[in-house]
Amino acid sequence: MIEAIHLTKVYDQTPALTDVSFTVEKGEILGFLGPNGAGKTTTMRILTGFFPPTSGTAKVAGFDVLEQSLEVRRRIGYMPENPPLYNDMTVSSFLRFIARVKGVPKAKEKERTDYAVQRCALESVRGRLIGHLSRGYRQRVGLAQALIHDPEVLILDEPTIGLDPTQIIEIRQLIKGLAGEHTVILSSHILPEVEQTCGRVVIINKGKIIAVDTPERLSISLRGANIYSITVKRSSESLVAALKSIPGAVEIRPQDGGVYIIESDKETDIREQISDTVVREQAGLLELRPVMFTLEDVFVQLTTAEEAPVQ
Amino acid sequence: MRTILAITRKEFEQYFASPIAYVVVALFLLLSGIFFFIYLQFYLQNAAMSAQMGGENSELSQSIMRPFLSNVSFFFLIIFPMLTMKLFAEEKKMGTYELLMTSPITTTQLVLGKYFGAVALMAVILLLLAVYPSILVIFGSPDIGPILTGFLGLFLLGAAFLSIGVFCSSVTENQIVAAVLGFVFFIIFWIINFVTRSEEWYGKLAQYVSIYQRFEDFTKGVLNLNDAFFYLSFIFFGLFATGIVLQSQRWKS
Repeated sequence: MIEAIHLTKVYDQTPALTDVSFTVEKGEILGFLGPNGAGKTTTMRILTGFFPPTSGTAKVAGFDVLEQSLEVRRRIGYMPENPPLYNDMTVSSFLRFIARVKGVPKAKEKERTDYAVQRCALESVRGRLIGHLSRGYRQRVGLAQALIHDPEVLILDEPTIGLDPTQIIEIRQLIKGLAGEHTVILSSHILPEVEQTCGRVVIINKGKIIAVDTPERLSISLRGANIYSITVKRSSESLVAALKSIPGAVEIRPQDGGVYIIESDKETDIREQISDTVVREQAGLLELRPVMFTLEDVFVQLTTAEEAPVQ
Repeated sequence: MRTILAITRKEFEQYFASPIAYVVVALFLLLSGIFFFIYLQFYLQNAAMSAQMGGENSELSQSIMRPFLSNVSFFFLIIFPMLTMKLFAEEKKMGTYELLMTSPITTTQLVLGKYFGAVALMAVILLLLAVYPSILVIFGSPDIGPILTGFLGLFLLGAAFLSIGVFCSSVTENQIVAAVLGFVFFIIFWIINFVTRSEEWYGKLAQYVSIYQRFEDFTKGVLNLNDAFFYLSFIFFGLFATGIVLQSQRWKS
């Protein structure tokens, strides 16, 4: 549905984006994750035709963003960061204006406006001036204007920025509900958000893509080893020795309270041997679980390390 | 077409949402009211004098409306930079320009939509200005023809200058800069009009390009196709330049 091909963008000799390529399948939610200034907004602005790339190109629904910009823009709903809105218009007159500008046919104008209002839960503020709305409502108006012409692709730049936790959950659920009917790209610098909402994540830093994968696979591929944590009732020196003798176990780190952190090499799954060993030592196995890296760990490691450990 | 009208309507409605339009229009109507009053006074004094001498009264539209419209046309243009400054500059500053530029609309639709919004506001101003000649029609019997052509001339003159205002707003994201640039153009046109009095070659040239000179014909009741064509090409040029500027900004950014 979306295909970015070697996108490069240079502002006054400063590269903002270097050779960025990725694809998004129909109905997918793709997360763009990166610190501020990483190039998320630049990528989105190229996809929406706000400005052209310095080199490279992109296709949305089969149309070239440079050559067939109007066709692309017809198929994209875009919500810029801190959605810019006309403060002196009411919600309904603004949405009516956007519907017309986006080419919603006259016969469908009311239906589409009602749909966007209802979908974004804006019924109660329809007649209010946008300038008087709270941040959460402004964000929803921004989303409503992106939805109004039923676009195949939704591009959302930091859709939850500046919202309170309840509002964040609402917006996230709203976005999740939109996947399937729409293909969604959203950007964020908040990790749990991307982790919870997106099927696939592009991690971008300093204008370069440094990893593309599902949130789960990203955290797996990052660790050089499998790490498990076990908790036993009765710790003993002989248990440590026995664990160390398991083939494939690399390191055993005893912790407080009968907890041991066991690292094995990446290829072998030694969970069975661990449980066998603990039972044989009669240590009383209370818990055995893999230690998951959160996307946060991945992110910090990828964006701080000079050499990213992901191949 | 529907897209253009949507933008026009939005611009027109937004004028009434901000105090600037009200203040500017009220000021303009006040000033033109003072002019009208002065010319009316002149006329009444002359009429009283010629009645004593046993002479005939001069015609109302020639002796009141013509000098009135001539004077009004000058500061009629001054108000426009204040009305057009926001058109593009404000959208760029507020970021709403991003909404427009990522919508499926062409630059032509955008420029025309905004321009027509400003023209619509000007039409309202002219409608309000028509209060003064209406007074003459109610209490006297002026020659209607020159008044109508005079208003048509004022409309074309204003429409021409509005296209300059739209252009000024497109080159910057600072409304004040846009307005000041508009005033600079206003002064340039004023100087050109001044130069037309010269007998030298540049006087002739100035007569050819002056937007005020063309207007004078309209106040005399003369409808000249050349003049109308001049204004229309002027508008086309102003809007075309605006389109070029906007397009090049997209590619340069």
